[in-house]
Order: sequence, then structure tokens, then C-alpha cells
Amino acid sequence: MTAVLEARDVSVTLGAANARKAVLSNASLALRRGEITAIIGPNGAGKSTLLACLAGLRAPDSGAITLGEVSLTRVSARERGQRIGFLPQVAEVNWDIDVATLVSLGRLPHQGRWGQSAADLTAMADALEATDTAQFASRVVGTLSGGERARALLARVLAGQPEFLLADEPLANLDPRHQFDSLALMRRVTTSGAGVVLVLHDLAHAIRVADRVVMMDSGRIVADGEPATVLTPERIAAVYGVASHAVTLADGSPGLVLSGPC
Amino acid sequence: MKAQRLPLLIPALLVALVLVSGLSILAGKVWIAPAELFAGDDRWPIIVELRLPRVVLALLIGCGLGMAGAAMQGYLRNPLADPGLFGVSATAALGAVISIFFGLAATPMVLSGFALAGAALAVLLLSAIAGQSGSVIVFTLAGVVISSLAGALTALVISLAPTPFATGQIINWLMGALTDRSWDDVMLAAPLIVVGMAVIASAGRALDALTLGEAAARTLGMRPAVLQAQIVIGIGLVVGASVAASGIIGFVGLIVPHLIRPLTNRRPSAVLLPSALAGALLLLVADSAVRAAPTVSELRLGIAMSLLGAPFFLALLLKMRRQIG
Repeated sequence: MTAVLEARDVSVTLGAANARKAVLSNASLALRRGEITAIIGPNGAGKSTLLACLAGLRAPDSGAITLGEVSLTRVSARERGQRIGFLPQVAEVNWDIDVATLVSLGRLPHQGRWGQSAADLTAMADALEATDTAQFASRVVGTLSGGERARALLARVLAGQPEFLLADEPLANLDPRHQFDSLALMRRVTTSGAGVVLVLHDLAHAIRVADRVVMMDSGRIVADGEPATVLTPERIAAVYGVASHAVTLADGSPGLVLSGPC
Repeated sequence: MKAQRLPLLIPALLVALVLVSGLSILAGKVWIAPAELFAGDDRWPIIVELRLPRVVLALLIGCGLGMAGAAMQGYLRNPLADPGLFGVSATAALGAVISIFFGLAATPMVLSGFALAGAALAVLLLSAIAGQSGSVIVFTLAGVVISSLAGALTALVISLAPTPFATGQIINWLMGALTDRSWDDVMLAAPLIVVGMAVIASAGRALDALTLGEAAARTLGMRPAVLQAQIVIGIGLVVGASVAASGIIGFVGLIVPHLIRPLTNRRPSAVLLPSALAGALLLLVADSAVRAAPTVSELRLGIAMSLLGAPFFLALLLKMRRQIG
């Protein structure tokens, strides 16, 4: 598929005028639908800032974000909401709403002024089913376990049927089994044609699940390509200061083992 | 996935409103039985010129304050928020108090005009301080600053009042009441409150989005500056017009959305309309009670609401403390 969500020479600086710090320097990245892109890098590398720019949450100080060749600043907030779904790192859910209501909020950019259409209800039902959350649709979000909650929050984004799903560290606070389940779900999302962008800390997950890995360091994109070509021991040592070696897993897929600081 | 957890909530509130309105028109220091009325009673003027405008005003103000409270709580994502927080009512009251201070309040509409000017000033100040940031925290703090400044200035005006009579008049007005209101008051308040409520209602979707926090809401199409303008203008109109017509009547906007929320799916937009209806019901019941109560001088509505509201607020706080602890 063609590239539709694109960052061109995007730079962001933070701080007071006399102490400006570049958190993102000339980052260029073209995201394609139908694949999982993992953005990785040490803390402070600019991953979340890049994701916020792609989601339209932050305007770059220079450079541009385009969606289907149109500058994101020229896309209406509502259309942006319909086409780009965003899963924040720390989810906030107010008012003790139940899961069905949470998922219905994902339809807000599509919904008319006078309530939900049949298409809204279908999309919500599909999202509940895809995430296997339909069985607790009437439970209050605050009473769910961490894993259930992560699925419900993902269902909220999926209900909007976005062309791109951007998730900032979606695996944080999940046990290993739920991490694998979440990633399997992300894979299913791409088969329906959406592009998935994940900020990840776990390099083993990145090399196993991503179609493409974007490695960042100090605000720059230092590598962008197939997981096995990006995640080389030399590069991991240079960027993270960690020794690693590539392995082949039992099913033939690539794996990665980190052995300690180097 | 239904809009309401209780599908009959709105019809039930409407039926209750019609019943209580009917009763309120008949009840008072003098009870007028319906049968007597239709047999050609000469007390029609009591109904049409005294009780009816008062009932209509109670309905309007209750509606407006109920909805404004629901919107405030949705906007601030805080169940303890009240429309009074933004300083609009305090500044509107300051305007009215200034008109009394200068002895202008005897002229019809002058007091209301001053109160509305005060509300408008608060709205402009809020927008100027909070700016284009759309930040809820800056906005709330701006409201607190304006509110305490208006309170201090009101106290200053009272202390400088030229005569004890003026002081009494100011304090009397500040306590809030719907006594002796006429159709003129209704005509002034009604359009402002109705327009304000329409502005608030148009923010429903954005308030829903805010349930997920500011960042997620923006990715759902919520525009912070637009929402802030809707909230400021909507609440400014509703609260300004209410204070102009009745003085400060607190707690309606705090209590009502609380009682309503558990009966809905808790989406902020689903709380707006039922809160308006329940606000009207609460204020009408309270005003009818103070009017019909066999007291020597009528208990002020503003005081009655505070006596009702303060224990409610305390109970709420204790409940929240238990949940946290």
C-alpha cells in the first residue's frame, strides 16, 4: 500500500528561549497501511514526541506531517479523529463509565449530532468482538483487571475504524501473556488494512512482531527498515549501551537476547 | 449502548415537572382550588401576575443552573465542580450590588443590566487570562481569582454603603430569592438562559470526548479553544441571567448532576438534559416550599438551597474520602 501518513523533516524543540533543547531533529518517516511499525529507542529519544506529532497532538516547530499528501494542519479535527486513532500511554477514564460506553466514545468523530447510527453500533459491536471484551461490556472500566482494561481501551480506538492506529507503549503494565495477546490483536488490526504504529521498549517483541522498526536516538531516526537489519548487535550496543545477540526461535522467527550493559 | 440507563428518565422528569408546576400555581399563603378557579374566581390576577411568573422563573433558572452544573462537571472532569467556580455569579452579583449602592436599583431593569454586565466582564476576563491555551487548569484558576476578587469588591461596596438601608437592601438581594418577580424579569432572563443552554448543549460531544482526558479527546476531534468558548459563553449567559433575576442561588448545579448521573450511562452529554429538568424540579419544589411554608417572613430561596446543599456536599465529600481511603 502507498504511504499515507508521513513526517517530513519534523523538528521539535522544548524549553525556554535561552535553553532550547531539540527533542526531535529532522525526523522523516512514511507510514504505510497494513503493516506494524515499531518505534524504539532509549528514554528521551523522542519516540513519544514523534508519535504526538503524527497524531496531530503537537505541531512540529519545523517540517510537516501529511495525511494522504494533505498537511495535517489542513485536515479538520473531526476528520483527523476519524482517520487516526491514538492510544495514550496513560489512559484516563472518568465518570465510572462501563465498557460499552467507553467503546461508544471511539465513535465520537463519526457520530452525528443526534446520536448513534446503525454504522456506529456495528463498529462498536465489531470492536468489542475483536478484542474479546463483549462479555464484560456492561462492567465499569474501573473494576476491570489490567489486561481486560487494556483490551477495552484498545476496543475504544478500534471502534473508530481508523486508517492508522498509534499506540504509545501499549504493553506497559501488562504481564507477558497479555503482551503477546495485545500484539496478536494489533496484527489482526493490520489485516483489516489499518496501519499500526507502536512505541515499544521491548526489543524482543519489536523484532518478532513488527514489519518494520524505526530506531531513534537523541531526537533523530538512526535506522529504519526490516527488524533484523535494524536490530543488529552493533546498533543496539551503540544506541542502548547493551550487549545482545540474535537468535532463531523454535518456530523459525527471529529473536533477540540482551545479555547486559556493555 | 442506549443513551439512558433508565429510558423513562426524561419522560418521568417531564411528568413530575408538569404536576409540580400545577401544584405550585395553586399553592401559596392562599390555596386556590382548581374547581373554584374554573367557576369564575376573582383571584386570577394572583395566579397570572404573581405565581405564574415566579413558577416560570424558577423553572428557567433551575433548568439553566442544572445544565450549567452538569457541563461544568463534565468540563472539569470533577464531580465537585459548580458553575459558581468560574466567578461568573460572583461578578454578576458585584454588578447588581454596585447598582444598589448607587441607588439605581429602583429603576426597572437597571439592576439586571448591571448584573449581566458583571457576568459579561467575568467572561471576558476569563477568556483574557486563560487565553487560547484551552487549558482546563489555567481556566479554573482564573475563575478562582476572579471569584475571590469579586467577593472582596462586593464586601468593599457593602462596607461603603451610604445608608443602613442600602446595606440591608444589598444583603437582602445577595441572599437570592424569587419573591415578587414579574413577567418583565421572565422576559429578560428567558432568552438569555435559553440561548446559553443551547450553547452548552452544542458542547455535548466535546464533553463526552473529554471523558478520556485532554490528549485522547483532541485525537477524537475535540478542539480545546472551541470547547472553552462554548463553556464560557454558555455558562456566562445562563448564570449571568440567573443571578440578574434571582440573586445567587447556589448548590443546584452541584447537587442535581450528581443525583442524575447514576441514572444515566454517565456520558457527560447524557447528563445534560436530565440535569436541566431535574434542576427545574428541585428549584421549583424548593421555591414552592419556602413560599407556602407558614413562616412569618418568607425564608429566602438562596438560604434554603444552601441549607439543603451544604449537608449534601459534606455527605458527598465523606463518601469520596471513603472511596479514596
